[in-house]
Amino acid sequence: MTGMEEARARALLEVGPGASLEEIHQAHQRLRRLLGDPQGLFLAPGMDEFSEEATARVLAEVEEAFQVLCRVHQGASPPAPRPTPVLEVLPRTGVELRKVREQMGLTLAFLAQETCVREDFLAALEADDFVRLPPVSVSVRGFLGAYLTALGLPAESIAPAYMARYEAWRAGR
Amino acid sequence: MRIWAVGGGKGGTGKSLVSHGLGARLADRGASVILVDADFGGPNQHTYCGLRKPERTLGQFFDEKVPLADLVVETRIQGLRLVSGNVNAQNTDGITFAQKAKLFRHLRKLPADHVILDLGAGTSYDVLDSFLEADVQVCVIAPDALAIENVYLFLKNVKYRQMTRVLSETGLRDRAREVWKHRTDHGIATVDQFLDHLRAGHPEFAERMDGARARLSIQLVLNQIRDMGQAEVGVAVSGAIQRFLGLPAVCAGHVRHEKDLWRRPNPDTPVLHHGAAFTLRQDLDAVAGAILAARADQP
Ligand SMILES: Nc1ncnc2c1ncn2[C@@H]1O[C@H](COP(=O)(O)OP(=O)(O)OP(=O)(O)O)[C@@H](O)[C@H]1O
Ligand SMILES: [Mg+2]
Repeated sequence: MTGMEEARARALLEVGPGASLEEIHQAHQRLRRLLGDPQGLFLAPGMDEFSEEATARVLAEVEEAFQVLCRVHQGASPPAPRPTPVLEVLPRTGVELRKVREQMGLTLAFLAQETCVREDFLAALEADDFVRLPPVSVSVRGFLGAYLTALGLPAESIAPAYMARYEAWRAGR
Repeated sequence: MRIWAVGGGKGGTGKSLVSHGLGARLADRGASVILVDADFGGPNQHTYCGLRKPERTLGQFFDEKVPLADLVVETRIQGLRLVSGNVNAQNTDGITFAQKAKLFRHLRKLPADHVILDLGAGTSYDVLDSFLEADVQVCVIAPDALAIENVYLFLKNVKYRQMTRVLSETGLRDRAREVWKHRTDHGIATVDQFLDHLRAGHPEFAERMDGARARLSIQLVLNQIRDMGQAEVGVAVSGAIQRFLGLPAVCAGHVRHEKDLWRRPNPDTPVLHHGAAFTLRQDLDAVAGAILAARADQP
């Protein structure tokens, strides 16, 4: 679902081909902590290269890399069976998606684990709170796709309309 | 023979100490090493080596046209020799860019396994060019925000200088100037977009840029850490250089702060050669080893 190659994901997270899932988790946590700290010693907010946008872009790349590597590690095991919701109409908005998830008795924390997408990003998807998502369409599409798949929902029918709303919001900023 | 350039750091981060230390550690591993004090504004390698008054200096290369090889003097460290900076120059502004450029052409001919250049602070063209032409590029930082921002600015200059050099080599300077002037028409907002535009239109430029980039491999040394918790800064900064500046960089290691560094028994003792400098020697040895290992795959 994402275009990022495994080699690039490894380079981004600075983990070797032999890294365990645990090491990948740690590298991801460390980078999030470093990049998410505006007081971080190693950021140079005076330089254009380190603008808020650039930092957000790098964070989004790190998230995507993490997902790619999680998927590589989980690739071997088949996905656990999941109750597929019986739906009259397809959910379109974040609120509707959230209802479906709650009907299924699944927590966001569980989905975050399943999808390797950060819980706060999933919450933002469900709240249509686009500001809290990374400002990169492919990442948002990736997160949404992973979320829908984990819920057993047809991503190809739901994602385009959702993404159209997201894009319209971005264009209007 | 391999040329190492140590530069990029802000004044006082420890470029000279690290240049000296890398030289001394490589010599200790059995290599033949020549240190060249190319910090025209503040030469001090002779003092690190414990030489009170250098017999010969780079000044003679510029003023008297003495061959560089004849300016190499022995130090008290086996295997480590030195081309001292011009300690008694009245005014180093007199050395022209052309003269400095000439100096760097002569370095390759020095008889040694490793030539280590202490470039000093600053971002003048001769510093950027020597950094770019070296086989091993070392940047020294300390765990403070000023030193770190400074190294980013230095590397941004390196990146820019590299681009203009390749533009000259490919005869694209004027074309590039035109594109930049009309950048909004081309939908270009950033230097990276500008580069992408030129790359797309001029394959020979793209190829040369790739070649130039492949030769760049920045080895970051984190100096003067006061507790091990600070060691992480080196990796964070090398990661940031990769992610935010798009340049290849690795952290070669850290060097702890040693408060008794200058408490040597007498001024003829090289700074790293007394008991108190034990941790410095250990750390610098690890850094030298890491850089050698990282470069082992290179010709
Ligand atoms: N790890 C260290 N422990 C203790 N003292 C250090 C260490 N590194 C550097 N110093 C001391 O800090 C001072 C500045 O170091 P140094 O001269 O190597 O910096 P520099 O980057 O070469 O400065 P300049 O830009 O002025 O040439 C010196 O007195 C040096 O001995
Ligand atoms: Mg110096």
